[in-house]
Amino acid sequence: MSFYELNSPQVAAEVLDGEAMVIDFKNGLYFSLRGSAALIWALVVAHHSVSSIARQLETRLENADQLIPEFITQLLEKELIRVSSQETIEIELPSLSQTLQKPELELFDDMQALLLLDPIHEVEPSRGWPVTSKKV
Amino acid sequence: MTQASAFIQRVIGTRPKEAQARDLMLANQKIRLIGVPELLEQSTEAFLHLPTFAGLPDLTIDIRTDLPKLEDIGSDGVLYLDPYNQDMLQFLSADFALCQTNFPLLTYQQCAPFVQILRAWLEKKSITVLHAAAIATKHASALLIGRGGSGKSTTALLALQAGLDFLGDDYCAVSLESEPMVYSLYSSAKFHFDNAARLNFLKPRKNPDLEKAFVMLSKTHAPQLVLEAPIRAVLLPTLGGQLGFEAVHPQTALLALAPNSLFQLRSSQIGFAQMSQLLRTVPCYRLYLGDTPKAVAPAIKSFLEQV
Repeated sequence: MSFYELNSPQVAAEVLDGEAMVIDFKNGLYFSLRGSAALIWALVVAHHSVSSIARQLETRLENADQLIPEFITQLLEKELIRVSSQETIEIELPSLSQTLQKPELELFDDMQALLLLDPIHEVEPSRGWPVTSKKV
Repeated sequence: MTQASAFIQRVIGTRPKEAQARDLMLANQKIRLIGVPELLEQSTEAFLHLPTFAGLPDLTIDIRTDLPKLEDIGSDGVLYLDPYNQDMLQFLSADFALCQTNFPLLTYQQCAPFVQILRAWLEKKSITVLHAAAIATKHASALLIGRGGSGKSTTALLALQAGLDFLGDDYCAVSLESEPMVYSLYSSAKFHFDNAARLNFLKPRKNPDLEKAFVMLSKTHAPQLVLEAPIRAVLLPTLGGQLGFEAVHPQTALLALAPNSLFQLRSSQIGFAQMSQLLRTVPCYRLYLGDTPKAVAPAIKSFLEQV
């Protein structure tokens, strides 16, 4: 059984009133997670297993057994989370009366250009100030 | 003596004899800028609205066109690149910064001098530099957030024209300690030439390296430049629609605020968390700008009196 955690410090996340924003500082991508995606996110970063998350959401999310592993695979592929050995943290889910929609990871890439402007630089004490690479 | 403090001592030892100091209170912090007169003059024009202080500074920023040789700075200092001129380097320790700059300054550097250094240093004081505009009535302020071109600057300048107070059109600082407060950093303002007709109360300068017009408001609107104000609302200006306000989910506001503030200024997870905390605390609204620019500022003023 696998547990997961936030891929910190490369990734940071904030949950606001049940919706999450996740930022990858390394590649400039950021993500919006709403509805079921935000609920799954909250449980994943609290180190709940896939089966535990599916169990908690099965009454509210149709095809939870299939959709939740798929969504967590996406989070792993995007390197937003990583495998963890930490203990599960119990969290209280909001009580929702309506059925949840399929979890979606909404991706934004408009900030990547800003990161490309920042040349990788290394400190080289023997040569004085850091040597900047050529601009992309 | 740490490696960073030894480096700072060497830097101070190479300071030009004609260097002068200018002191300013910024976000309730004492900042001392040191540089040769012509460099200091250009670097501090956007700060002319800020008061001075007595006593020792909390942070000294040493401005140079040439840098002393850097040896190993150890772990007590951090190096940054100037966000506007990536060939320029900046060093920051707990109370000392060394900024390399070109001369004359690029217009962006003149409008928002040392923004990267101030962002990094203020963050350690739990003060977050945001990519946002801020305007105020006598009692309350609103942050204007959104991507470039969303109408932040134009809305802030329309408010200035209508007599509201002004704290910034591009960057400002925010703290959350007792209540959410916004602090003015710069008195500069930029706007697209397309908007020059509706903002004809401003006389922008010619600038060869910036696609926007810019002005320094300390020379023309000093009484309306306030240093700090409590934040009562976060507004997302949106072109079109019918002039009015619509509550939005704080995550919508975070998506509009955080990416630019974080990636443009290389903010950290700490800054991200502070932005999130701000938007948990202060109500967020979409501001539809409608089709009558002159009606925008009175609507904001009336709205701020109610929230």
